[in-house]
Amino acid sequence: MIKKTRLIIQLLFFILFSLVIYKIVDSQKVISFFHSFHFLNHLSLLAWVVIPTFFLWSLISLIHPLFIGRIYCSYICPVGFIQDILSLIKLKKIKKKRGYFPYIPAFILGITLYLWFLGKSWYGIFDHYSNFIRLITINHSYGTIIVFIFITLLLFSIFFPRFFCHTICPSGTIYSFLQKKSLYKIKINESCNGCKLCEKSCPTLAIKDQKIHNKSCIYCFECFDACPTKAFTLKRTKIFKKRDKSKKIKTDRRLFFKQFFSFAIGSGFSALSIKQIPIPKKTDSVIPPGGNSFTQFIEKCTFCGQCIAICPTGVLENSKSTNGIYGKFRPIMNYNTKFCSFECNACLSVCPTGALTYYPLKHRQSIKMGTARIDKKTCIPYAKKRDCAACAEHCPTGAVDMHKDQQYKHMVPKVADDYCIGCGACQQICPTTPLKSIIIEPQSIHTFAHNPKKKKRAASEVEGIDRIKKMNDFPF
Amino acid sequence: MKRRTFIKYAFASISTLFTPLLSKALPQKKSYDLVGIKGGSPSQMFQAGINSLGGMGKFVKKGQTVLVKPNIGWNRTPGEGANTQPDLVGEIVKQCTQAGAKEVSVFDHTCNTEKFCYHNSGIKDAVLKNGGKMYSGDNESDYRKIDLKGNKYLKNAQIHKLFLDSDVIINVPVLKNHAGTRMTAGIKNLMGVVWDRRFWHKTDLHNCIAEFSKMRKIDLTVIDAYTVMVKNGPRGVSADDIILKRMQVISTDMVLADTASAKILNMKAVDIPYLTMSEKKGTGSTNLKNKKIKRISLS
Repeated sequence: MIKKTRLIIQLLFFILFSLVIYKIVDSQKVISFFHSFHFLNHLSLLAWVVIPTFFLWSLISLIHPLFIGRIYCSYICPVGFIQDILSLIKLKKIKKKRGYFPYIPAFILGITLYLWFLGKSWYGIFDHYSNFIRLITINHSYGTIIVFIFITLLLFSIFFPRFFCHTICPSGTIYSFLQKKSLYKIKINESCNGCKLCEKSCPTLAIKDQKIHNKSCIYCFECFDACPTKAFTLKRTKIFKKRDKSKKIKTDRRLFFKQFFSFAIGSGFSALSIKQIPIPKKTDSVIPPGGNSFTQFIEKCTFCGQCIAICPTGVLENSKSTNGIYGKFRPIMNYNTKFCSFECNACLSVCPTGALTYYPLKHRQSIKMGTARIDKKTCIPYAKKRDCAACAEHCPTGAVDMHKDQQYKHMVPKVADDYCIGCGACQQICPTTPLKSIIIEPQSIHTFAHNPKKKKRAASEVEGIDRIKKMNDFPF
Repeated sequence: MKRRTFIKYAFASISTLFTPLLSKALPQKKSYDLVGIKGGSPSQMFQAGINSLGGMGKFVKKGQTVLVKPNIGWNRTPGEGANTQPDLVGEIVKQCTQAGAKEVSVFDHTCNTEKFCYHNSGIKDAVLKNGGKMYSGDNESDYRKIDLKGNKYLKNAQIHKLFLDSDVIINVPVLKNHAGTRMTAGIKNLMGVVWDRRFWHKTDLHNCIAEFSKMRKIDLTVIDAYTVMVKNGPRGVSADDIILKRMQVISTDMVLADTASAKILNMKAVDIPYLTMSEKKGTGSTNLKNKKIKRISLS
């Protein structure tokens, strides 16, 4: 009974998170709420001394194993669901073993926490929720090596149940440490008759010889159902209990130090690696709106790929070679064939770490991501002395405009820098080949553009418009 | 004597059968070259205009397929004047289906994202409500590469199959000023039926527009001048860019309709290169004198 109920609850959460990722709901608050279930991404803003939305809920998600064990892992986590389904595959002649390997989780946690506290988002490689998003949105962009490694690690679950959770997932490792001091613990009482039915029913093979391995147990409570003598109980532990000093302290202490050293080596490794990566001063490509500044964006983005998946025009891409190793995998705008739709703010509303800060549409329409620059050597009106104006046609703010010029007899395009928001509509439509004649120069720090309604017009033009207004009869 | 009178009477009665042919041989009462309507809603003005031309039945026969080609290029609402008014498109679709058309299709190869343009312009809802069919312009496989013989600049183009195969084409543009070509109305609206527009901008914009204008006879041109965009065209930056004129121009001669519309924007045909080029290529006339013009005022 518990097994079936758990499967249904897991399936519901899996569907729910997938729908949220695909922005089935329009409300940014709802999306943010469902992101807050996964604390590692959501609370990463704390490194920037910013309190994220739904902070309390995310905090509860972090500390709940102190009360009832890591039920997030067994009932809510979508990655856990995938692994549980894969574990159902039974292969002949291969015996399943516990998915816990000592020292590796502490090492990975060391890397993760070091980066997390310093606000460097490379831990996104290990974070389970970022990986889940990449998996769900695989058709959009991240067919990269990260997703394939993740899929391989998930497939390990066929041989080692919940391998990813016990060995890699940093949230899982944190939960396993917190769970040790849980207020309510699963205990086996005296009515146990040694039938070992619980060992077969446990999805993570945590039970052996009437003992529950704390690091492997995910508090799914399936053992409660499986035991014929009802030997499993949820026992409330005494908070301040006098420790029995005679019991195996030496091995405990040794194990603790070994774990601690793995953790320290992980942190040290990250510290040295971060030092090796040169921080570029300027960005080569336009960063998405809401990114605020290049350095901040790179350090907050866990390259989950959700913004890329949700973008309606497909202008966002993961940077393969721009911005070097520092900017690797982060999304940038590619204006050569696509542009940023003026009436859209989808990417800002789905970012789970706040790398793209959410702003309402009107605010985001004034964010200046870059400035258009015209190359007079190849631009058709300048170079070929013919009409073109494709850029001015598409500019949503009127920053690119056609002007009469004494030198060139035709109307030529000019950019009013202060009104340009760098959306790339002009670059995308420019017909010159092989290179575009109008290209957006990125801004490393986003500023704001002038209000397009305030743009001044020539006196002759104003007079002409007046004449049209006053004409009441048919002019033909 | 009886035989002669019989033959006279027989001859007289048989000749009455030929009187319908006689009426055709006589000089006919000519239909209007151009109809201008003002002072109503877009659909009211169209109803008055099409009635003065003899009704939609004169242009759409029973069982024919119709393409209604509005301007749906921009992700803008009707109040911002960048696309054709949805009421006008809806009314045209309704009249075509009432005249007995087998299928009325509407599409545009949009500049902004298609699903936003189709929805926010209000045109998709208006078309579906009146029994028409919205077609996508975003699939390259719907376009056929056609060799355009005799052209100097636009030697071939990928043209949408609806433009090539439909029995009747009704061109319904919106009148706007245009950053590149000074004005956009009927002739410029046809740019929305080809796949690769960049080629036109790159090669010679005005000449390509003019050469394409004679590719196929447009059965009816209805120019929506309910709102006209007077600056920042063709997309417009805000509702400040449009003026409410409440006018409409209908004609079977696309060039003539454009000439009349240019006057609404206080421009002459000579100011607009592609317009005079189209006349030279034989698409139509820019001479409004000596033309039969009907002016209807609804207010």
